[in-house]
Amino acid sequence: MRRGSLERQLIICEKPSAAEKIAFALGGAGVRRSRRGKVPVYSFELGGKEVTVVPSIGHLYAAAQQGPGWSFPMFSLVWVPIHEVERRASGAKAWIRAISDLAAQADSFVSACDLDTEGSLIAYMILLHACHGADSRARRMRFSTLTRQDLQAAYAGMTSTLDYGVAEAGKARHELDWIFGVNISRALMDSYSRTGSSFEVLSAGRVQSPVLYALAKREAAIRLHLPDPFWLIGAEAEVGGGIVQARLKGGKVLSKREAEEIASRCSGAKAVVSGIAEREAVIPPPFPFDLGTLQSEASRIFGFHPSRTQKIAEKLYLEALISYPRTASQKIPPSINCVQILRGLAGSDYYREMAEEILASGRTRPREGKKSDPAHPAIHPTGALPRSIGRDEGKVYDLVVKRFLAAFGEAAVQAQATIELECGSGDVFVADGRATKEAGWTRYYKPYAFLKEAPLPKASAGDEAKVLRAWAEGRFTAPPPRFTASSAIRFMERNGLGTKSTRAEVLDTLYRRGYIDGWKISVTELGFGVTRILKKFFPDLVSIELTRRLEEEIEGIGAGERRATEVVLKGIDLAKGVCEKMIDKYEEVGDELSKVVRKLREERRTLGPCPECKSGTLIITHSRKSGKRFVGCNNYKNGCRVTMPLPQRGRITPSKSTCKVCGYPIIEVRGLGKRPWRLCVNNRCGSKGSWQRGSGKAGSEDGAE
Amino acid sequence: MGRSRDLDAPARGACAVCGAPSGGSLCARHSKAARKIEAHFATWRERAGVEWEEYLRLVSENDLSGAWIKETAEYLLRSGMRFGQISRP
Repeated sequence: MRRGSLERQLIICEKPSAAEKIAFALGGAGVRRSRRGKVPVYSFELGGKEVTVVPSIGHLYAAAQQGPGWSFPMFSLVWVPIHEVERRASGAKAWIRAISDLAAQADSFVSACDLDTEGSLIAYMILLHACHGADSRARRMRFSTLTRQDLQAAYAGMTSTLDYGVAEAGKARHELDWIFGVNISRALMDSYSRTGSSFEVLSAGRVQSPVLYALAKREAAIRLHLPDPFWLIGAEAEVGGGIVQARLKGGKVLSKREAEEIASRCSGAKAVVSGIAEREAVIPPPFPFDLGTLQSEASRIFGFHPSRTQKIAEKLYLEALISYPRTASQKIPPSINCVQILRGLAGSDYYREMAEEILASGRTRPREGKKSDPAHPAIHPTGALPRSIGRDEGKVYDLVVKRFLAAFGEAAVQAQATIELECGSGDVFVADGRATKEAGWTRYYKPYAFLKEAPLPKASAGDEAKVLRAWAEGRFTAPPPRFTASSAIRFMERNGLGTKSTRAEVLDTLYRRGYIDGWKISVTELGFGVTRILKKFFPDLVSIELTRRLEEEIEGIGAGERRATEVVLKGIDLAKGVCEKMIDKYEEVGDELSKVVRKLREERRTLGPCPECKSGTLIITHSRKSGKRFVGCNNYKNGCRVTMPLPQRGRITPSKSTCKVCGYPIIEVRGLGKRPWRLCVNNRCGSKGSWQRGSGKAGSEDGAE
Repeated sequence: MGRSRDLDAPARGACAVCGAPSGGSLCARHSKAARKIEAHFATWRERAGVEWEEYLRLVSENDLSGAWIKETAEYLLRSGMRFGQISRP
């Protein structure tokens, strides 16, 4: 129904919550809510136009193969409604229909999706397909926060065309991911199934495979680490009327005998203060967060997985509490009114003192880092205060706010001192101390940053001292550290693998496929196997260089330096080369894969040594009669009769640890959508007393490590 | 020194440590670990003054030792293989 002769404008948003914010920011009290099926629609009059705001639910279109069948190589792709290719996206059909109906009545179109590659692509595809080619008539709103002020400014200053370059870059990235992912994964699965083995989901990809390779290389270095011994000499000394902890100057001692000799001759020895050094250490404030640093900090402080932090940050953005989180920038441009944000934060009892102190100091610009992002500033609070907020959202919000406040702080200053004590034997010990002179920015970033304190007594050169006791501490060289999800994301960032929006997702895929495992990432046998095969037969696919080059070319599309078709065709050529090599070695690849999968399945059902017969292994097996799963010893033929029942629902994985009470293996049971629980497999375990008496599942917890 | 046992000799079946198919008596991973164990022995003897068996025991019990190193050290201890019996390819 047309209201008079008003121009009708359709604004497309990325998510329902963003649509609501945008509608109310632009239409105020005049907004009328309605629904088209389950799709919320907001209408209002604005500047002589009848405006309708409609949300999407992320991507409504996806790359898919042209035509039916399951074959490869497959390079013919088309963009289709996402519900046609993804079972989980069945709801998209209603959204496409609603947007399409609204588009038929609209005269002009606006993209108000998130200002990044994915947002630009979402809007472009909807305008092109659901809005019947309206992309050429569409304009683009550019904003980094969902505050009323930013949204009104973005509407007033929208660009006259879509950001085609960014959308084309996003489209090319999706197409390249599809081409590599589909072809290599299908080739792996096909070569595997031709060996007569049952079905197993295997995958490889343009970003996924080099990341997995890097993780596997680190894993191999850890598993092949042989620690070499060395010794450190520690001492407790009396100096200047106080007791200090000191260490032998020069660091490691490479002989046990020598270390013991030094410790023995210095214990109780007289010493003299042979040197004092004092200096001031200036610790500058941190930069505001980019997404990678936020993920890494939330992982260090709260133990959040990077994808969880990203989801929480996106939720906070949709609630207009923080700016757009998918940013690589560590800069807050002058166009952002920091004073207003600080005034907003001063409205909260919790942040008032800090915000007012910064406002009073006149420091209105934060410290900035080197990294920048053309589309968005660093993550910062909007100044709006949450009315109610969930526990995890509250944690991330507080971290973002305090980091923002800390960036306005002054440098922290610590006085650092070193006292050198020389024994008669010529051995020199060093005691380090530090005391905070100015807490600076750390006051705003509490409890996430603190300065270590270790005061030293007053002493002067030539003062007498005594080494009360000295000891030799045996140490060993350490293996390289395991990757955590956040260090893996930093590694991907450093090497140009993936984008800020996709990195956490790539890691999730590796977890889902069973290639990697654990909070501190370890690579599974399947992960090792797939890596070995890819490295042996398709070294290009695990090469960081190839992926980085393609990423640079994709970014070139966004910057208008490359044509999307040219980059996609180049990608097709590379993928073709990989597939051709694979076809030549099909049988070999299949054989290797089937060995890997066999080993993996064996690994999945092996729980550990049998504590009863000591020579067999406890395995998960199935009853021939009832089909039920249970634990049994593979030494059955030699008389070991150990059997234990197992939960019949949920996925069971060996935990590689044993029960502290009875020594039997612990398993992890994972039900669909439920938290995993750990359970001792021994049904007669002492820890299960309370459970057997019917007091819930305490037994499983007590028995678990 | 005993007779040299070639870990990379042609097909003899399964790895003595993990049972994986291997060209020699150990698979690629464990033969790499065995060579590393042998190579580091000189360092351990010089620094800690330990002999071969004690070295293998300490390495197999060390929390910082990698899993493949531990497994191989345990196997070398069990099998009584002496220093110098692990040949290079």
